[in-house]
Formats: sequence, structure tokens, C-alpha cells
Amino acid sequence: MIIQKTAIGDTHELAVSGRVDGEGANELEIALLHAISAGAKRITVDMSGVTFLCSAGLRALLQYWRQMQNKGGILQVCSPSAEAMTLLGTSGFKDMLIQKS
Amino acid sequence: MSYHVTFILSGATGERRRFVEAFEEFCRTNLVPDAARQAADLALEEHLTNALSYGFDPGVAKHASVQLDVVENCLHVEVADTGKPFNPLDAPPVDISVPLEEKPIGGLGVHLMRKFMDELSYTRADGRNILRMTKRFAAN
Repeated sequence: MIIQKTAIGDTHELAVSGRVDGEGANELEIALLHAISAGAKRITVDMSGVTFLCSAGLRALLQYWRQMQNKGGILQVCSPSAEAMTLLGTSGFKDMLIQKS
Repeated sequence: MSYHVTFILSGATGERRRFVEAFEEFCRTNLVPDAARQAADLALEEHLTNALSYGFDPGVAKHASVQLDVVENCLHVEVADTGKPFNPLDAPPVDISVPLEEKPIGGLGVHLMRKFMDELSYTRADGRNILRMTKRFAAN
């Protein structure tokens, strides 16, 4: 799994590609934590390159979505691949999705 | 015709990645369509993570075997582990309509296994948890 990070001011984007399995979910969690520690107010997770997503990845998204909400920030998911979209939909995570501008 | 293979897992570093590669190779060789392969891949990831991460007390050697069979347009998966008795199918159903603010953090793994596999059954026998899962697919 690869995570490409970009930050413009307090807006951070994590472009995730590959397999978000248990190990990948740990890497995603660390990347989200780093973004929050760096002062991100808005985090966008681009999942267009995700080929596999499991519940550990969903848990990481949910955990940090809540943390951002509690701090008055935003975590959102954009451009999910078909594989990621199936998992997000089946698990009731569609409210995290936004259209990429 | 029937195709069969067994893998042994012990929770070692890097082992899961090698297992996934071998699983994908098995599916390719036996003409399992992508949708069925992806469903079983997900169910295996969820169950093996539970079994190997939480099923054994510290210091106890981990052991799980995964048996794959393709018989008449069905992919059969059997996972047997020597961990503590644990029936994942005891987990209550997940209500996915619950908003993100109130969604429980746990329980999604078994929910996904139920959603993506066609049949699931659990037995405890000879000191092992045995989970059998089946995914049906259309003939190529």
C-alpha cells in the first residue's frame, strides 16, 4: 500500500493506493494521526487507487472521522475505487464521501 | 473436477502477504472469477486477523490452516485454528443505517463476512475452531 501526502495550509490530502488490509490500516492510521498532529483542519482521503479494503481500514477512518468532528474539523473520503465503494456502501460509510472539486 | 490446496499459518511477519499471493494464484489457476476471489479474500482477511490476533494467549504457539477447494462453481474455504473457542457467527448483526456518530467501532468484520460469502458455518472439534465458508460463482 502507498500513501501520498500533500498539504496546503491546514488542508491535507492522503492518496491511498493498493491493499488496505490490517497492516495497511495501521499505516493509514499513522498517516491520519500525523496529519492531525500537523494541525490539519480538513483531511481528504482519496481512495481511487484502493484495490482492497477491510474492516480495519474502515475502523481507522471512523475513529479519525470522529476525532476530527470532535475538534471541529472534517475528514472525508473522495473518489473511491469500485472495490472501496462496495465496502463503504455495505458498511454504511457513505456519509463520509464527498465529490472531489 | 475438484481442486484442493492447504496452507499453514503461524502469525509470522510477512506470512499473510505470501498467503494472499498464493490464494490469488490458486484462484487464477482454478478460474475463480474476480468477484468471488475478492469476497473470499476479504472474508479470509477478516477471520484470520481475528483468529491469529485475538485467539491465542500470549506465549502460546499460533496455528491455523486454510483449506481451499473449488468444486462445481463453488469456492469452499475452511479455516481451522487451535486458538481459544471462538464462534464469530455469535456476533450480533450490524445495523448499517446507524449514523457515523453512533456507529460501533467493532463488529464490522463478521458483518462483511456474512455479506460477501454465501454460506458460513462454525464448529468446534478436536480443540480447533473450524469455520467453513462458501462462495458460489457462475461458470466461466
